[in-house]
Amino acid sequence: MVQRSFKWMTMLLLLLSLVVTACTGNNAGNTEEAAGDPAPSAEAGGKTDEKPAEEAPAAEAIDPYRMPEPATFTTFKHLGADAKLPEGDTVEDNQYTRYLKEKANIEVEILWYASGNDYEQKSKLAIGSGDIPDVMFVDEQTFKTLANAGQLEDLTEVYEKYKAPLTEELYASTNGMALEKATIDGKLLAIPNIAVQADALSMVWVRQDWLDKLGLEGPKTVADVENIAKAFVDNKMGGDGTIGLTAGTLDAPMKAGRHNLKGLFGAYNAYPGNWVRDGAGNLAYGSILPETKAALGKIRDMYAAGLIDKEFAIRKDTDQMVVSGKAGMFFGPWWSGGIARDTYGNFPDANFKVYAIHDDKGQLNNLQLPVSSRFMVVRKGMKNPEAAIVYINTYIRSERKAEPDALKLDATISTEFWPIGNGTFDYANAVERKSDMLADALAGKIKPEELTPEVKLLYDFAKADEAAPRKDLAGWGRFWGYTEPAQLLKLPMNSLYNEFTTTTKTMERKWANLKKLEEEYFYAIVMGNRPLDDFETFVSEWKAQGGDEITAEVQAEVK
Amino acid sequence: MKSFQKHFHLMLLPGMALLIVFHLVPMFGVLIAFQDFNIGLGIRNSPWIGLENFEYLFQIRDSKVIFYNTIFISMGKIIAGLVVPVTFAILLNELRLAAFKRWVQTIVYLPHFLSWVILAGVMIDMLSMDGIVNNVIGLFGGERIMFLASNEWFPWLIIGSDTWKDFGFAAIVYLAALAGIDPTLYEAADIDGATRFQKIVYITFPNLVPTIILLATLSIGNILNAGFDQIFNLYNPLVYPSGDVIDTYVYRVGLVEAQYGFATAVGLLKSVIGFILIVISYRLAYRYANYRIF
Repeated sequence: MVQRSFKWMTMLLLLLSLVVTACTGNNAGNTEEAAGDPAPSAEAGGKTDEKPAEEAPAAEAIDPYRMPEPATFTTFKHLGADAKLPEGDTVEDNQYTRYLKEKANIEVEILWYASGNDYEQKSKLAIGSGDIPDVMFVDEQTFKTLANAGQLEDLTEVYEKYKAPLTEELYASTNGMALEKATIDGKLLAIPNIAVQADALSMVWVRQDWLDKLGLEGPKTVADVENIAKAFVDNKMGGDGTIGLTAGTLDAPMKAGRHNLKGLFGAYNAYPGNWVRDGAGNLAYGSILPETKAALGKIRDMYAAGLIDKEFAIRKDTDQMVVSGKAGMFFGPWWSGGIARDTYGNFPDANFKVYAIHDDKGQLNNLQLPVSSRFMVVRKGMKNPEAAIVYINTYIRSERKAEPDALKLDATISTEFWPIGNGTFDYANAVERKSDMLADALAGKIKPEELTPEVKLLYDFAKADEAAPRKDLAGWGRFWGYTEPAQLLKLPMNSLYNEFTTTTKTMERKWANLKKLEEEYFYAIVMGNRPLDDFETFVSEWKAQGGDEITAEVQAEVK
Repeated sequence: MKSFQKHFHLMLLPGMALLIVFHLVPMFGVLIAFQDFNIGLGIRNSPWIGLENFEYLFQIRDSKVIFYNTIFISMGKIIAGLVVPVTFAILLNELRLAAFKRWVQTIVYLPHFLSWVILAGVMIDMLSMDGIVNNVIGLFGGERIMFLASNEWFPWLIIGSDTWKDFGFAAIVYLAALAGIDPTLYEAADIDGATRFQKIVYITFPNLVPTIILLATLSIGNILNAGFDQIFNLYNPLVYPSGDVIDTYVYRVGLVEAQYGFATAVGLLKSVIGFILIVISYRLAYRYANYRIF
């Protein structure tokens, strides 16, 4: 008896405590709302806060950078674990929040913030339970889900009314594709970010000192890469077990990563893992197209000949192969200088140069990034959605230093501390722009004082390196990416997009298995455990196990 | 008496609170195994699809493979995890030099305290093409083997390394059991002129049998836990056919590919089978080793 009653008591106590915490949670939320809304109207001297929105159209000129009345909205945000603030500042009160209050008359109430996985989980939980803030950044899939669930405010009108010229200019640099991406059924349901396209191009980084020793030219085609790798391996340039070319995953991600073979696939017009147009112009999954088979065949041959890292599939730290001076070539994006820098630390005589690999028609194929991958969404029914537009105008103007006071902001403080967090809003060709500016400054065409603070910093590092080459390797790593590698970004190229970046109904169910099928086959083919012609078996299995269904869905959705 | 018991029950509170908050409340999450889960709609509004996720699970080729791998690897681990520590404990027991014995014991149970993240790094280094193992093979003129990319080697490496990591620690239980053996048995055997080997066969081993049976039956409950950390840190797409187990599969499908409903279904099925096995092993342990909690 005693036992039983105690069990109940404990259960009751626990339940009670749960209920209590739940209630206090709700109360807090209510008071926040209650406190948040009347405040502006009180400051506005008794006006109701709907009035400004109604008055706005009547007003002659709309200031896209400032709310006429103080505005407040709620959000939650991601904050990197290593983001730091100066003493005394908090996530709720720092230079950015103060700047925003001063310039835009906007205050943002941060419901909570978290980093990494915690953020992912917490935000998904909040979204899953329908508890979304007024404004937040989400990924494309979440954006679509929320849009389809009818939870987002239509921003078409407020965007048209409040957009700032600079904001418009940035969107124009994507040829309108960014805004199109956020438009569903003719309604603009989010403010999309703008990706910097430089991260898409996969270039090949070569040990130039080895090339020079062997009297070879830099690579232009896959055949060159093969020959150079062979020369490196045969002459044991990195000692016994020299690796001609490193490798990583067997796909072509939109954001070029170090060691994956995106650049090599590109030379075959192959884009495994992406939805691209096939020979007949239909949207198809790149991994099952004949171009991918051709590329895999080449990689397989190079692997069998010992030119590609024998153990690439099981390496946990491929960078180490380069840094330890064993590998002569690797594919990577423009910012890969970090491992070149580390290599120089070990081998002062080493030297890297970057090259772009062309296909047999002499064309450089570049699968670009999605124009936008992050979306600022506004909760349906938010009181003053124009505040979100004003916010983003202000954010962009400050980030692009188009306003004198923005220069006073301490650039070393992560922009993640902007109330809604970090989203890239830049020209699609921002890296090229900066590298041009840097080149002009170094050539004396622009005075260093005229540079943006960002480029000025690069300029200082470059100047220091000019005076004492490679003395400060950390500094070298900071600016070098903006010199030679960034110049490659300006080569004429055939740019294409992965045309489908979310998921369909059947994909949700079957994609993981198809992905596994693909990985198993690709690795087995490249490493010689299966004949190349098993690619056809893979294709038919892929189609039979749901691939055809998914392709039909994707085609229907893109049309 | 009653007030005395109250204190004990009060001491249960923190434990129960933890159990409820971290084990019972999250149980509602298994609902999504029966839903076409959509994060935009949430658990409350996602449509119900009944057993569709489970049906799909039995349709795909992968499910056979992952269940087979899971059972194969964990059976191997259980068997090796019984034989090796018992043998080791008996051999160690025969050592006469107490200092050396302690030294050996300390050395062998150290790896138990290292995480798989570290050990996997060590293993990858040792088993790589120019690692120490292949160097030895090369020294004797053998063909170098890419161990971690080979479906023939991979499951055995998993079983072997797991046993290596834990046999020292597992042996502690047996050493304790050995210490409990009545020394008069050995003295009597000495007088009868038994050899060392005979003493092991007729005295030491029979005395260990109840402990062995107990640990063996209890390990049945864990048969579907083939060890996520270990495999996750060692595997790669090449060894999916032989190394992908339920836990790693659920991780990839659920977290990486975001198929929450399906992954939950797989995990739930695993839990249900695991639960049944635990009940069975508990019954067996009760019957054969007289071990019981309730």
